[in-house]
Amino acid sequence: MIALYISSTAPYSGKSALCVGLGRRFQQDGYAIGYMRPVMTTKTCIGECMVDKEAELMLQTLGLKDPIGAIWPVCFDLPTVEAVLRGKGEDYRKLIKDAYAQVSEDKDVVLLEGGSRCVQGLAAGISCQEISAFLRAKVLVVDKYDVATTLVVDDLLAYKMRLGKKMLGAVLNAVPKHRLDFVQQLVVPFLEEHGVPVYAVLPLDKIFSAVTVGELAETLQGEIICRSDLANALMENLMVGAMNVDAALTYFRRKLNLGVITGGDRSDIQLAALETSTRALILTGNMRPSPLIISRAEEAGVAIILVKYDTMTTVQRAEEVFGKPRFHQEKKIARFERMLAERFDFAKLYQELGLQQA
Amino acid sequence: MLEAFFTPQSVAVIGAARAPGKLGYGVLSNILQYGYSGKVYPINPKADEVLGLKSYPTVLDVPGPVDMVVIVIPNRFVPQVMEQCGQKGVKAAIIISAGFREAGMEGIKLERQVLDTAKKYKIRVVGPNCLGIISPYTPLNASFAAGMPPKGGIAFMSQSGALCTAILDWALSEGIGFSHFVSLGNKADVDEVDLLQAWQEDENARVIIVYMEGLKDGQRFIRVARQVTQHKPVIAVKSGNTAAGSRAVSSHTGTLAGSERAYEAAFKQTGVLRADSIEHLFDYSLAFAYQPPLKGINIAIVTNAGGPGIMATDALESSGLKLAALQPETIERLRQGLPAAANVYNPIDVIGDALTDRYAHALKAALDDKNVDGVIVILTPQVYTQIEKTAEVIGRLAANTEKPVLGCFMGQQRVGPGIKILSQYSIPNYSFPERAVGAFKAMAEFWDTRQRSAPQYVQFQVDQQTVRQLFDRVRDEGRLTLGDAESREIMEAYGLRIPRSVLAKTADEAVAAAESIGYPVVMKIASPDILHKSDIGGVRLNIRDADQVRDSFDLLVYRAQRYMADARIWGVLVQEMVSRGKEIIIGVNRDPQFGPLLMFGLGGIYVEVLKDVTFRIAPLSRREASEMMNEIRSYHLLRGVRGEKPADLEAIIDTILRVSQLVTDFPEIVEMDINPLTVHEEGRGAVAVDMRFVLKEKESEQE
Repeated sequence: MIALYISSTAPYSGKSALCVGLGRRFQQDGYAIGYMRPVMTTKTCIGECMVDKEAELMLQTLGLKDPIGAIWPVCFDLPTVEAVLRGKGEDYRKLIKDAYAQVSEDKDVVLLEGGSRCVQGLAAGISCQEISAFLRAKVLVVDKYDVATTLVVDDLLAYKMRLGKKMLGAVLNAVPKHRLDFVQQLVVPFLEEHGVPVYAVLPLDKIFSAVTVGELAETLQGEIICRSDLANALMENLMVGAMNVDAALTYFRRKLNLGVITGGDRSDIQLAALETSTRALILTGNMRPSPLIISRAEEAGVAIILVKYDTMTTVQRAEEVFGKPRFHQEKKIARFERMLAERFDFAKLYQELGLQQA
Repeated sequence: MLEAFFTPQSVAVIGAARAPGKLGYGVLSNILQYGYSGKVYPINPKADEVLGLKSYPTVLDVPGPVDMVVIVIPNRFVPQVMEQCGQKGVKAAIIISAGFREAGMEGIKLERQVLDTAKKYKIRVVGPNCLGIISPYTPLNASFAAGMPPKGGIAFMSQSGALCTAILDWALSEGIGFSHFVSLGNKADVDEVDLLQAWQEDENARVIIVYMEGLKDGQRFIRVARQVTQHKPVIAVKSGNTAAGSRAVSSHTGTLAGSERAYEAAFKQTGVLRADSIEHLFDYSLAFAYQPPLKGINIAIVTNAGGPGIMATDALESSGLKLAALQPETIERLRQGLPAAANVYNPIDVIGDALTDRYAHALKAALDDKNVDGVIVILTPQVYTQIEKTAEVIGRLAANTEKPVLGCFMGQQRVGPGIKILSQYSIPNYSFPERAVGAFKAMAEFWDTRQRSAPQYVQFQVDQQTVRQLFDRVRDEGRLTLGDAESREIMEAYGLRIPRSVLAKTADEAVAAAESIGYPVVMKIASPDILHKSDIGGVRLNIRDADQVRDSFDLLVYRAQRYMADARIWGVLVQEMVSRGKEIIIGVNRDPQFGPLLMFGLGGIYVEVLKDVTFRIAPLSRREASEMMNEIRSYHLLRGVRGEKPADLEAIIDTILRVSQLVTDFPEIVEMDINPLTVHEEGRGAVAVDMRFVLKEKESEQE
């Protein structure tokens, strides 16, 4: 039995993606895999339904049949945190160990999706360091390239200090294309010299931060009134149309795969958006567009989401979703698998884990 | 091709009604009442007889062939009826019924269904949601309009049905004749361009007039209209030319109206005359329809009042026409026939007490003068004026000349009978001199259009392959904008001169580059994400040594990163500093209706503050390129002022034409500009200093 713990240096770095990508590869090579997320954090735990849905999607994607409770043994919601702070917490190690025993039955490899930071869960004795110790797991750390800082190596070195030999290495994710050379030539050798092997350098691809029409409609509590069959279409950029039509055309032309937010009564802006790389029109103020626009959108393959909020509120809420992309869409998964196949050093990983490559 | 609409052998009215007041009754009774001589079949399953004719349940039950149908039934039955028409072999259908695209989702679906059936059986469709068609020469009034205009030379089409009825009513009261009268409605099939094409060869149509809100295919309009205007004048009123107006058009028709500038350019390039109002539309068309063509710009004015004569003269001058300089013999002849107080020079003033004989003498002399291309006869109703007799004489003289004569009988009540006599002699009358001048101006423009030779297109030897590959690569990478180096590659492939430059990734590389190019140099940030480099301080000029190069490198990269943290920075471009010259801007913006719209102007304040720019739609002919240059107000600056040498105008034309070819070859370029193009003195060429491109996404990436 091999346990592989996937951690990250920050939230939304690509842990789920890596779990899916590695999991599917192991399966292809004939290994039975298990999946578990030992600790949920309060933040993602808001509303039972959210947790369940995420878990469900993960099980679906990996084709597993475990009960949801088992793959998600501990959830740090507010009451749990209170209990821990009062010294009245449960034996979380046991919960996790029990769940692991269940999940790992008849499995060759179990993927443990960890917390989003190294120290998460420390107060309850279940941080990355501790879990990886008592489950005897090896740790792979995903680091999302942060353009705002050039000190990309610090977080990974900190991990190494804490985990020592248990740390297999790192995956550098979402590296802008123009920084690839810099990363390959300077960052990777530096990390390897300091005991952090790099398994993959993955380029930034806007598709992974894209949001589907369906997700956006749900967040905005909007109604898809045209081409609801395109609920899975991906939008990479959000743009607001509130200018004159010539300017709008110039503005929309700059970017690919747009969600365009504008008033339901701005037929000129709507038509301009339909001329460009638009995936969805998000029409605010609960104003239905003219039927002629709907029919043009239908032909052009552009979804229309009708929203009750005003434009300002719509923009704010929509931006929230764009900041927190989800991974479970076939298009994204396929692209990620392809990327791993091209760039992930599976040979090294298999060797480290003692697995045979098919 | 559309003759089945205008001269059908047989017509069926589907939905012919027995009750007066219903549209189906009105249409049938119009067909019968106004003398149609072909076969007429009422179709109405609930009647045996309508207006004395045997009625049939469906068009399939009609014994003989049916060329054209007029459909006046509720919208939901139309698709099924079209199917029957198809089986019957009908060639043309006028769908008067409303409730289609203009009426919502259901209507849109119905219209699509109807059109699919029509296409399957090759039936041409006018409408739906229209007034119908009137063909006075056939004669056939297949409409529900109240009345039938007389025969005449005006072919009229309108997107607005309501405007049709108003114009028809006015035309009836004025006795204005038409050759064709078509209400286009939703333009599901037949549109403006189809009719232009159909009327090009029709001898009855002397002038074509159009009321339009938008076009389906701008490039096709340009191709066809350009041909038609070689044969006959086309006058258009285009509404929706303000921002609010254009928004109204887009919600009314569901198409993104092309920009006003694109329409202006299209009209200019095709020779279509633009009228600013319906009033002008008819002012112009009457002159074209009733008078012989004007073949010059020299106009004589005959008047019995000084004031209106001067007004007419002012109007002539400011519209670009000329007050004809009369020959000495003419002046002498006028002097002999007119009183001493009269003005024998143009404008010829026969004075207030003039009777018919003086008008006759003056008009005859003017028409005989070979320096005169056309005459405006102004008459104000004074105490002794013989209004009707004078009109009679003008009419007879005008009928015996090849030159156009326009009337300007000013007033209403007293001059009324005179105007009537003029119109019997086919002389249009204008109530004020400016309007008459406007009509002559339109005629002069048409004359000028006909003088034009067919446009000559230059094809340069270019390297399409390189550009094709580059665009494919860029779009495969999921980019829509191009970096500097890529833009430069394109310019080179299309034979445009660019300054020498080298991309430097480090300060050391920059120094080496500057030294190989030679000081002074220009340095620019190289990033595909930063389009307006100078706005963020991303350009430094006149850099003279290695230290300055290093400083500039660091500064430019720093600024770029501060401006946009996630911008892709490729380094800094070190560039030859182009010596001073005239700065030109050439831009292209793909118009949704017309395609690549090319802009030309002098750079800097001339573009930004004075908006001194001009537009044309590509592809451009050589003449059009040089017209663009001549058209801007600052053209004289290019020609050189105060002893300056002229700029290299040939190089400008060459650049415009190469850009035109580039955007025509590659429709995926949605925007580009060269700003500035530095133009040197005559013979020294021009250099494209900076440029940017925006591409359209690949079709395959869309769902």
